[in-house]
Amino acid sequence: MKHTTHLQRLAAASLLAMAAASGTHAANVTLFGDRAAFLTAIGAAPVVTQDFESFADSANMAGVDILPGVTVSTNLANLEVFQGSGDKELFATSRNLPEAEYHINMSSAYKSIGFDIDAFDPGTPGPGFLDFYFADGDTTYQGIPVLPLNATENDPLFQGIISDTAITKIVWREGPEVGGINCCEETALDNFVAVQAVPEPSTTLMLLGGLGMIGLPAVRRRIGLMR
Amino acid sequence: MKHAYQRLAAGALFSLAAITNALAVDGVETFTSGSSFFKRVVTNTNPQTTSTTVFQDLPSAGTTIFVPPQTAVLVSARFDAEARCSNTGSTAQDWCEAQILIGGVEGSPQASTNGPDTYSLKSTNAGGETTASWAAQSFSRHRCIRNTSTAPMAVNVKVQWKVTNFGGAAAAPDFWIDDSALAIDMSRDCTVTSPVGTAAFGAAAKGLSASDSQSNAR
Repeated sequence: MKHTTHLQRLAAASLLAMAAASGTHAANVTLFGDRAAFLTAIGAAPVVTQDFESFADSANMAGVDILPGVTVSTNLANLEVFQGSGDKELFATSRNLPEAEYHINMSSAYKSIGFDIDAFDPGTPGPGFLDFYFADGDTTYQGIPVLPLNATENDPLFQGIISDTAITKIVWREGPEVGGINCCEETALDNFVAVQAVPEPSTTLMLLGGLGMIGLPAVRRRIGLMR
Repeated sequence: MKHAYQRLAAGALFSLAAITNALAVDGVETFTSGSSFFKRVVTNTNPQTTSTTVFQDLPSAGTTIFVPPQTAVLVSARFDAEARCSNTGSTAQDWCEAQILIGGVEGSPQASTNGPDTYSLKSTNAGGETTASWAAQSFSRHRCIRNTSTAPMAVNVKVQWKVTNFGGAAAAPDFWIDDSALAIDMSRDCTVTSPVGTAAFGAAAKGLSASDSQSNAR
């Protein structure tokens, strides 16, 4: 009987811990195409940034944290820092595949992030596509077309998002090139800004509650031994 | 004298009706756009039935698309499915309806919103249709939408369905849909013209709903 009670506690604790880890509500999202508006919206929240200026030209960026808990990967062969005509940016090479993608992978619980997409040919027919992935599995914000708006390296397209649910991944899929037979119009990523990832209080409390329930029988046993 | 007033009143009413008809939001409209840049298709092979007499969302026949910043696009949505509309034992002239909402507004032609009658996807054929009267059906709806903001604009596109129990029989018609596809296309730039003038955008003419202007619309 006592064994059953322990099992029940363990099950309840596991459920709490799972609920804390997964979350249950769908993402409520606001998208931004303007850096100033994004910065205004996040207000005075502490941010982390990355402009790649501290990296050496051609530095290999595969697996490198560009922000705490954030890496970028690509389906192309290389991901490196590129010294453009202005500043440095994150650039994938070479475009010899049918598609070119940047995957911004977030293992920390970021809910607000923005970045620039630098383009090197303003005349692209587009569109490229943005996909946002969330911890709750919401797929609404995937396949967002981004038309070329005469963006250049020095006049990039800003993309920002503020969500009430943690963002787990952002995918940028480059658009076609003018007259291009192979993929794609070259773009680079730059000037990341994100509100520091912090666990939600409710998540922390649920996690602590679950862990506490798991540890409770052991404490009781110890107290019993001391008597 | 009384006759003259009556003639005048009738004439005024006739003229008013003619003017109203000419200015009808949803008379004849011509939509024009440039090249297509986006397609999305939602398909479903699960059969579904309803006998609701008020429009409800057809499950698994909706999605949210995003209009790029500072663009005007033509959103074209086409729905096709295998359908039947039957009301066994009733000879009433009932029918089964569908509409496509684009950003919360019925796309043109706004048959269910402005038409003198509603849009029948399939009728019961006054009792002639049976539960074996399956047939392929298709219709399309269109709307210009302008996004003046600097962020992508979320626009929900969905199919709704209902039946009309015109005869008032105890049992409403049974509307059955299977093997459906909702195909959505966006193309660049959009103008809509009508015989009474050119509207800059159909969306504006039809009163773009508030939710359309918010990027967090679901």
